[in-house]
Parts: sequence; structure tokens; C-alpha cells
Amino acid sequence: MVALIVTGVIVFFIYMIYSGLIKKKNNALEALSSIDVQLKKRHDLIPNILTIAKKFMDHEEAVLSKVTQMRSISSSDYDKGNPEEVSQHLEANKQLQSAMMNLFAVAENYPDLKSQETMVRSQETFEEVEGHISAARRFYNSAVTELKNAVEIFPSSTIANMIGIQAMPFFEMDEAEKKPVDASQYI
Amino acid sequence: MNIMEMREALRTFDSNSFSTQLDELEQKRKDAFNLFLVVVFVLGSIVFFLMLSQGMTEIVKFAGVAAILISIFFYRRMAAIRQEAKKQLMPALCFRIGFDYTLRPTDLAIEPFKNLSIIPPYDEKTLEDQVTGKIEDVDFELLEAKLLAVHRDSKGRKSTRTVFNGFLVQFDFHKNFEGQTIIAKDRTVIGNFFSGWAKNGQRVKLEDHEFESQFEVHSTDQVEARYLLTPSFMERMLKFSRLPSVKQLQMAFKDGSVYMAIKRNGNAFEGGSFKLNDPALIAQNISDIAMIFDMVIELNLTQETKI
Repeated sequence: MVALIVTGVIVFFIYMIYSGLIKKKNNALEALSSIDVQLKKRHDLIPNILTIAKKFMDHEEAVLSKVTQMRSISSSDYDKGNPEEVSQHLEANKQLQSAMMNLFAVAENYPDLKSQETMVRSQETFEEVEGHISAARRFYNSAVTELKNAVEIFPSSTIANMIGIQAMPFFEMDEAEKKPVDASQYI
Repeated sequence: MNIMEMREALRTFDSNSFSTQLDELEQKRKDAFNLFLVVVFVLGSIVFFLMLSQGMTEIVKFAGVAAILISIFFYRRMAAIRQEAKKQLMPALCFRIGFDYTLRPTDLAIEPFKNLSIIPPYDEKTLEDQVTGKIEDVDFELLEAKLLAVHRDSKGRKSTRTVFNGFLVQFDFHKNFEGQTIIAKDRTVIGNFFSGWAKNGQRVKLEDHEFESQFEVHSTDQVEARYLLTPSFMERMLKFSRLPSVKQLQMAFKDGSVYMAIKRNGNAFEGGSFKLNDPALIAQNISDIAMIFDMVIELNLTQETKI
């Protein structure tokens, strides 16, 4: 009888760890999907910005084609269950963000472009979308931290290993994005 | 008019235009106070002599209660005169900076705060001093609320406890959002567990440890909650909650607005205990109105950036 109770407690304990792991994994996947929803908004916005920019920045072919190239790479399909592919997907989107930041920085040299109402509106919308991406990234990183802790700390690490649950990569900020803004550059 | 110009407009408010009315009201208040003292003295003496001559009989008890009620009636006359001064001053001060003032707001004004659970449950309420207007394109509505919980013991005796005293404020928020995010005071693990049932949405775990130790966030949208509560907004909220005039802060975002329930000590817009014709009374009212500017500045509610 005692052995039965002890076995029951152990099975229940293992089940709780198992269900906790699955919940954390699903939570991280949900957070990853929410990033993709926001990234999709950015992808949809880029063609409009490029169309306007091309009219004025015909000498900046390299800047514009870098954005087009990164947009194409970052929107390719990937396996959400494969941490390596998730990492590549997130890295590609970081590169796309850098390319867009570079485009806006170079656009500063074109006053006619800067004063275009459609460009101003596009840039405002882009900023708003970036705000949502940043929020989605924080949600994702929070979910990944919980999953990572569960996958790396005993005893849940053992069960995670047995059922093949892996930690997912963080969506880190770019170093350039982390640096404080130097206002003098824009004055 | 920006905040600087509003402050200047209040600073240069011409109090002389009110001096005649305030002098008259102060004279009335003094007369009412003297009459109150006479009434208390006369009634107190009658009850005292009745007690000495008859002892603690039922009639003496009745006379004592009647004396207290009559004294309260005369005391309230003084309060009514003070309120009359407020009714004249506050609309004029508010009008000067483009705000509207209502002494007694409708009961509906409290409904959004109640529905969002950022004020505690209550049985009785007193709403007053509603100020509405616009500060640098940000529409707002502020009112003062005192909420009481009523308790009755086994003998049916009623006792009241103040559960909230302070400001209820609604500001238009500069970001677009669709869900509902509630930021309540952290009530430790067990308290949060029970209060969490009443909140709509999931708990949002944020990365700022100090913010997490002070507040408990629930939202219908995890991403949107973080979009609204950026690291800098969380810092500003903490800074605002540490102001000496703020005893407790609870907030909610819904339908494009931010709702704040700010617990405070004392009663605002009453001009303290100054004489009605004392310039310090107007200065106190101006200082109370300027608290709205502090909210806008500390929380940076007029910022244009969307991030």
C-alpha cells in the first residue's frame, strides 16, 4: 500500500514537471509567433518605404538593395521547433532592422525625401511597428528565460532531455541599438 | 497653452477681483463660527445642568443627543460657507487655463475605475471637484473620491472605514492599443493569487525587478502590455509613485486612455484651514491644480514618440 502511494506521488510529481515543461515550451512558441506577427507588419511596410526612397535616393543603390536582400532572407520559412533555425531567423531580422536604420540615417542627407509627407507617415508607422517588435521581443525573451531555466535546472532538466525539449535562443538587441542615442548626430 | 504658460497664468491670477466676495464670505464664516461657539456653550451648559440636577436619565440622554445634532447643524453652516468660496474660486482658476470645473460630478464618473478594479470595493462614495480639460493636446478628467466600506456588527451598529481617498484621473494615451492592461499594487504571493481572479487577462511578468516588487500587471495582450509598459515608462511610474503626495498608485490602460487611482492624504481643492480672504487659500488651490501638471510631466504623457 505504502509502495503504491509512493509510486503514485512520484508519477504525479513527474507529470507535473512534464506538463510544466510543455506549457513553457508552448508559451515560448506562442511568444515567437507574436514576434512573427509584428515582423510581418514590418515586412509589409518596407516596399512602400523603398518605393518612396527610390525616387530620391537613386545614388544609394547599395543601401536600398541591402534592405531588399535582407527582407527576402528574413521572410523565408523556418522550423519553429529547431533552435538553430529560430536563431538564424531572428538574426536575419536583426540584420533587416539594421539595414532599415541605415536607410533612414542615409535619408537624412536628402531633405526633399525627409519632407515628403508619405515618407514622414511611413517612418512614424515604422517606429510604431518597431515599438511592437520590441514589446514582442521582451515577451519572447521572458518566455525563453522560463523555458531555459526549466531545461537546465534539475530535476526538470532530466525530463526535458528525455522528451527532447530544448532551450530556444534569445532575441538579443543589436549592440548599436543598446548604445545611448547621441543627439548631437541629429542636430 | 503649454504647461509653462499654464503655470504662469495661474501664478499671475488676479485674486483682487475676488477680494470683495471673499471678504464677505470670511465675515459670514466668522459670524457662523461665533454663533457655533455660542450654541455649543449654551447647549453644553443646559445638558450639564440637567445632568447635575436629574442625573443620567433618559431625558438627559435625549437632550445630549439633540445638543450634538444641533451643534453639527451649526458647524455645517461653516462648511457650507467654505464650499461657497470654493464654488466661486475653483471655476475661475480652472477657466483661466482652459479647464472646466464641476463641484459635484455624476456617479457615472467612477464607473470605469470600478470596472477596471483599480479602486477597492466600497459601499458609500463621495465624489467632488471634477476638473476636465486639455494639457498640450492630451485630454484629461480628474475627480476627487472618498470611498467607504460599511460594516455592521451583530447588533446592527454601523461603522465605516475609508478604503480610498484621493484622485481618479483619466488621460488620453499617445499610443494605439486595443486590449486591457491593469497595473495593481503588489499584494505578495497569496494576495496576488486571490486578487488576480478578479482581473481580466493573464499575468504579465516584466523584467524590471523593482517594478515587479511594487506592482502586479494583468493584461489581455502580453505584447501590448509590454508595448505600453516600456522600460522607461516603468521607471517613470516608479518615480511618480515615490512622490510624497502619492500614497499608492494603481493604473489601467483601456480604450485609448490611461486610468489612474492615486491614493492621497487629506482633501484637495479645499484651500487648507486658511481664512477665506487669505491669499494663501488661493495659493493652496493653485498648488492643488498644479498636481495635474506633475502627473503629465512625471509620466511624460505628452510625448510624441511612439516607442
